[in-house]
Amino acid sequence: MHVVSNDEVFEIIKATGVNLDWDKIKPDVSLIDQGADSLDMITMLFGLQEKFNFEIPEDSIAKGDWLTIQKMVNQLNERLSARKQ
Amino acid sequence: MISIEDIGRYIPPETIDNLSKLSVHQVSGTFITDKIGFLTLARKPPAQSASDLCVLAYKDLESRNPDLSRDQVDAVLVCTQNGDYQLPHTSAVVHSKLSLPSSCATLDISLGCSGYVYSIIMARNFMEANGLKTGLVFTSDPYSQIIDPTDKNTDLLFGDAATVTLLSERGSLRIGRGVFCTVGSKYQYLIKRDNEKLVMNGKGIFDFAMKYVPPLIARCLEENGISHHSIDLYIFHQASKYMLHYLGQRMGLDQQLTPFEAETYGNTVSSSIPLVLQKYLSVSRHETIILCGFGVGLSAAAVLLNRYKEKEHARCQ
Repeated sequence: MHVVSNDEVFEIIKATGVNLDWDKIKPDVSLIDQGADSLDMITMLFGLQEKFNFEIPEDSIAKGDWLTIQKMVNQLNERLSARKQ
Repeated sequence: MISIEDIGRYIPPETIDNLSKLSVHQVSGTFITDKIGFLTLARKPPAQSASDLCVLAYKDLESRNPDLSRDQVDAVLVCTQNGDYQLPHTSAVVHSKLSLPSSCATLDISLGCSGYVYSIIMARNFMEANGLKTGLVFTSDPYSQIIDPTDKNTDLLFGDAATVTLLSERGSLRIGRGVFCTVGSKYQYLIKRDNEKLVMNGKGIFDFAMKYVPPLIARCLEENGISHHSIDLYIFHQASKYMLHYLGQRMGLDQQLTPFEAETYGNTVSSSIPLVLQKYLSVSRHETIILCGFGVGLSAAAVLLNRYKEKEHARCQ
């Protein structure tokens, strides 16, 4: 089963064109605290949705499940694992 | 053939400064200038209704078209979701305020950001099917009436305005085939319930636009038998500067082909496309134009406009 890594998520969200200081991005710090605004977050989440062909549930976003790269990785692997089953 | 002859417009002179709301909504100045793109939002006085804005747009049209007589008008269509009353239809109120003839057809279309595209297609078809010669397609959707000023998602976006498109056999822009898209399962992403204010899911609208608009444009080109190389201009619904930028980037379009013109008045819903189109109406080098609106519904629509060549136009009349 494909296991998503921090590096993979980093490349996907960077490829969306969002303008962050990518050299300094930390995987365990909120992307908002690292300079992303609400539209940046929407764009990055759209990139992940498109890559993995799924829709991120609203309540999951509201709970803060997608604020850091590490959390994104955790959520994606959880969903991929559930899909496999 | 019924085509677009002219467009009248009305943008209220009073505006709200978005840069004065930075602390209220906890956003930065660059978020407003670079992402939202609307520095000021047009605001009608509370006492003015959708029909009042329509009349003012008509007066603009009339001022440039002295030969246009109200007695000639045989169809009025108003695109709005914030009409004067729940009933009757706002186009009947406009009919009254403009003292139009009793032989005139009037109808409303309940659509938002995709509304202008739907409306000109519907009006063209209605007029041609029934031998009508002079039609007015109004857009007038004053969202200021339904916005919650404490809601960052909506308070920074919407402005009031109205337009009127004159459709006749003398028009210079032919309306081609339209294509349409509805994702009704997401209707709650932009909704105003009774006795409540407008609520918008920004991510949901963004996702819808990015996913559905590019293939819709591709379908529009195919239906009209034209390649993207031949398109001189894409007039997208002016949802926000960022939305247009990202959409254009996603579709590989030069920024010059996707104008963003709404900095001083905001997202005016169904008026957003005709306000931009009016600017390019007489620019003859723009021979083929794609219009594309997307938003509430969730609904999207696109249509091709072709400028008539002079000889061709004379033959069609």
